[in-house]
Amino acid sequence: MKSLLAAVAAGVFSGGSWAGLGAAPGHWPAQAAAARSATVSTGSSSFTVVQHQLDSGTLVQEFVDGSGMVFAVSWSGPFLPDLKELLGVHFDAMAAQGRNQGAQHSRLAVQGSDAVIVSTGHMGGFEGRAWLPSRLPPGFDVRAMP
Amino acid sequence: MSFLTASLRSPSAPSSLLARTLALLFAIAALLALSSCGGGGSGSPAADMTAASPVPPPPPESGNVLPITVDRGTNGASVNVPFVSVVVCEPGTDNCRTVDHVLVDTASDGLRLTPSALAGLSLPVVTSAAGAAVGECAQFATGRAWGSVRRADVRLAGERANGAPVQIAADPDALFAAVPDACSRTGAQISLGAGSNGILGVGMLTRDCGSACVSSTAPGLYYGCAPAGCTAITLPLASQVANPVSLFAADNNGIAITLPGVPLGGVPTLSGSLVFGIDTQANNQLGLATVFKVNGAGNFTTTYKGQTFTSSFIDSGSNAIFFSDASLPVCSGFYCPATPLTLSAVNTSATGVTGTVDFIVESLPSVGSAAAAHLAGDIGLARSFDWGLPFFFGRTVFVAMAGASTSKGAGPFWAY
Repeated sequence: MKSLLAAVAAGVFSGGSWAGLGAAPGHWPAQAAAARSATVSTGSSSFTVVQHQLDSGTLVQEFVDGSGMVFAVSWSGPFLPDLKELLGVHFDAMAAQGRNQGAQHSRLAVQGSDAVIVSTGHMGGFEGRAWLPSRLPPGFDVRAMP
Repeated sequence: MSFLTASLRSPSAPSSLLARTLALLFAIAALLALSSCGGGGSGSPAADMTAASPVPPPPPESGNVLPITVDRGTNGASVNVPFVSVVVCEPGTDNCRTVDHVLVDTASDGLRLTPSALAGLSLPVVTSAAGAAVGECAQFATGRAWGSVRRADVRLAGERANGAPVQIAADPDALFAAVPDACSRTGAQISLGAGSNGILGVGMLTRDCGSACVSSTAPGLYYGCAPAGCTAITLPLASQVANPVSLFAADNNGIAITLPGVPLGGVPTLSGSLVFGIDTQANNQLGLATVFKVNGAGNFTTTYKGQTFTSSFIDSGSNAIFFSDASLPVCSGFYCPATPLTLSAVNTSATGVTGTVDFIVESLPSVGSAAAAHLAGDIGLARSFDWGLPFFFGRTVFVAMAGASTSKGAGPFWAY
């Protein structure tokens, strides 16, 4: 498993141009006020949380495993972040679901086998989480994501 | 009520006679619950709620009352979507269009319409300080609405929002043909035309962005558009898309939505009222309604089965009550209990005021083709609780806008 992850990560990095969920952390504006990272341990595994407070007031977080791959992301705040940067190749799945919502504009859920994406909220207060079920470190609880 | 709930959850419960008895008990329990939580000064609809009564005619349109109809929508597939008709006119003229099936949305702010609803109407585009045509990338949890910002005289019942900046989503004007890259990166274009002709956002904000867009382009909402393309701009409040209620000469501090109770099994249509103003007329008094102030993000807290949801909000534009309960079965995105459940939660305001809410959950298949029914679904997030349209059944819910002055203090707040 470890070598497979490393291989995937190497492929990601050699590609170089894309980022986000399932790849390397995204590129966020340099003026983003506070970029902080912290290492979290969950029993046998550990991961890194990279946090950006955007100028819009919205907080984005990327959860990065030991190979450098983002396995989960979250956003919370008054305005939507650059979700393509945050979700990477999985942005298209959210967009496809978004086109299929009819008159429903306050809740979106993608329950894919490769990625789960949930977005909710209202003008002035948006919340979202996305994760790769097969890439979660042991003991990582998606329900407890901040 | 707790006895009833326990009985319904018992795996040995359902026999057909028992199920019918329970259904009757539920209808009675629902009536009792509704009559006990009515009380808002603008008149509880509880007395009108009888399980078998015919659908009442829509209330008449008058000064500050706009009729709401919950029906199957323009595509025949809507469930729990409250619609109103709005009149949109070229500024200063009587050249108007009546746009039916506009979604009443307490989770957004501003009037957004599809171009097809305004055929033949010429609305002037709002311009930036530099003289560019203003476009907007309005944000929703499910995506964005790209379009122009234009001025219109908006007539809602007897109220007037003259010269109101409104959004024309997917405006066919060539100036707005290309979606700015930063806008497209927030999501897909939402479908204003799927089931509805637009959205009437009557939430807590007077403008859909506010001061953040006056001083910064970071929110990514407003653009100045010229033939060469659109670039992000700052925009004064007066040019931002407005919650039209805030522009009324009177009755401009908020709204109340009143819907009658809904029996088990749902109803084919439902008629209610969107009332403008709070404590400004005899029909919009807060009375005994409890005020729930919100935090800086516009949320309060809901506690359900011992779990605390800190991002809780009330949304007439959500067609179900959305929250997470892993113990409930899910079918096609909605909870589908074998028999109706009565559940309970406690809302806590940002200032610590609490109130219990009992609500019913039925399965979508059991309500057939009803336009209004007690539906709930999984929101998929651990800290969010979305009180969708079923919360409004049998209630009057007030939305006091930011800065509003009322008999029970300043907005923003919910009251019910």
